[in-house]
Amino acid sequence: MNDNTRDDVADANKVTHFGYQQVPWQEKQQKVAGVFRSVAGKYDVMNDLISMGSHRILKRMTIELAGIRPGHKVLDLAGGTGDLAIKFSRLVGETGQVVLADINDAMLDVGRDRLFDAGCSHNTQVTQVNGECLPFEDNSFHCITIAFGLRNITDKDAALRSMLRVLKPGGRLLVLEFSTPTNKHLAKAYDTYSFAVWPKLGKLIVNDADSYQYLAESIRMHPDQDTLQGMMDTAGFARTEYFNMIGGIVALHRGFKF
Amino acid sequence: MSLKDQSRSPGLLSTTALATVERAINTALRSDPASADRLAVHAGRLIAIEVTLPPMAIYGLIVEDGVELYHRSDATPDVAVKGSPMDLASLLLNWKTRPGVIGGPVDITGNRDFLQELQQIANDLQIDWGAILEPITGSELAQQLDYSARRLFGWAKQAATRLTEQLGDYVGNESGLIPSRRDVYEFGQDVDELRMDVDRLDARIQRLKTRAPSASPSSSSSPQDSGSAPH
Repeated sequence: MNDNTRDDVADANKVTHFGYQQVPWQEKQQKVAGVFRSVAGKYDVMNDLISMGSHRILKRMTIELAGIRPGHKVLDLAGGTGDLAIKFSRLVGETGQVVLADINDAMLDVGRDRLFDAGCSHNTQVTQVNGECLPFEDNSFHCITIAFGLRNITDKDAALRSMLRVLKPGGRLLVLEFSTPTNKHLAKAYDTYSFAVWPKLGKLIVNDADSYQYLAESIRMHPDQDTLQGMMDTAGFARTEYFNMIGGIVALHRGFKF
Repeated sequence: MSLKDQSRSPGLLSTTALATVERAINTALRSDPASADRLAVHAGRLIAIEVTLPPMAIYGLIVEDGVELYHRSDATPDVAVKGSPMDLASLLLNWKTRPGVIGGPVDITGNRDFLQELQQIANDLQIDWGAILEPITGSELAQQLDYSARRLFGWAKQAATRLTEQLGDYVGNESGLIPSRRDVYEFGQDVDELRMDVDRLDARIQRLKTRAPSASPSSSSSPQDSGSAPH
């Protein structure tokens, strides 16, 4: 048995988590795609409901830390319905460029329509990509953001390395993601709320409780703040740091490429 | 922006407050399409407003459908203004400062024409800037806001007066239900004139009466006498 064959066998036996389930490594991507295909049409409405509107504020804070200037080239990875891309399009101006990228075609369809409606088509591109192997040249972007998307990527280390590769030297990565509450009472209340309410809202609004059960579970399986910062360090990012938001329910990680 | 500034955690409350103000301004713009169109001409331009005390910066990016506000920006603003909250409010929103309060200087750098256009649009919007900006000004401008509120009440009183006048014009001139002030005046003049005519006529009658007894016994008096009677 040669090395390649051994790797193939190892990959075939490799498992990862999909929420609390253990699934074959290769299957997670398809399962996640199914989740987002199911909720794409009402993704923004559901986000507003389950976060009680706070996701908009958190995204504003992300934009403020992005340091975008006119002329910049920005990659909004797992950008889905284009919340951030619309804002970036206005910040980079006529001379800049924004790429809205997502692995899910249903989410991109919604995002493309929103970009058109917002008058942002002149400096934006919409592209379907796998975050683990970004199809862009080295040193392409001044800034990469991934908001509530890293959690769903199967090989997060590969994705971080790929993002570092396509960042320009001096560029920055911003990862906005659910994380671990810093207060145990808040954590308990948050657990109760997310497991009891989110699936019911999912059933009510998009007739899909399972997707929001997955959301609640996947958050618990996501690396905590320090672990993710370590992963960014390992990938090669410099000056990494994170900002806890809403008591650590969400964290914004930032790292630079030097 | 310094590296130290960049590492400051963005505040949830201040970001929420800024979002509230942004939404209020954009709502006001949607209700005034003419002002919104004038503003949209400047889409892509950035104004930096730096408050000296308490230290705070707000960046306003003009976009096609309104404004976007941020606490920080790495972009070079088209115009930057720096001063105390009251002086900035006085400059940008044409707030009249409290009588006796002497305004301080406001540093302006960049495109003054752009700033002037923004001032004009802000004034033309006819909205209560005090209430809109309260989430970010807090108690710092409370007194000034009170004064602005009084100005607002003063405006409301003037508006009520104007409305009363306009209502009077309508009832008087257009509906014909009641006479106008001038009609009443002219009517009064006519009445006065009539009253004076009556008085004069009465006086003449009285004079004729006083002359009548002396004239009746000498009915044979010469015609020359009667010719002396007053006319």
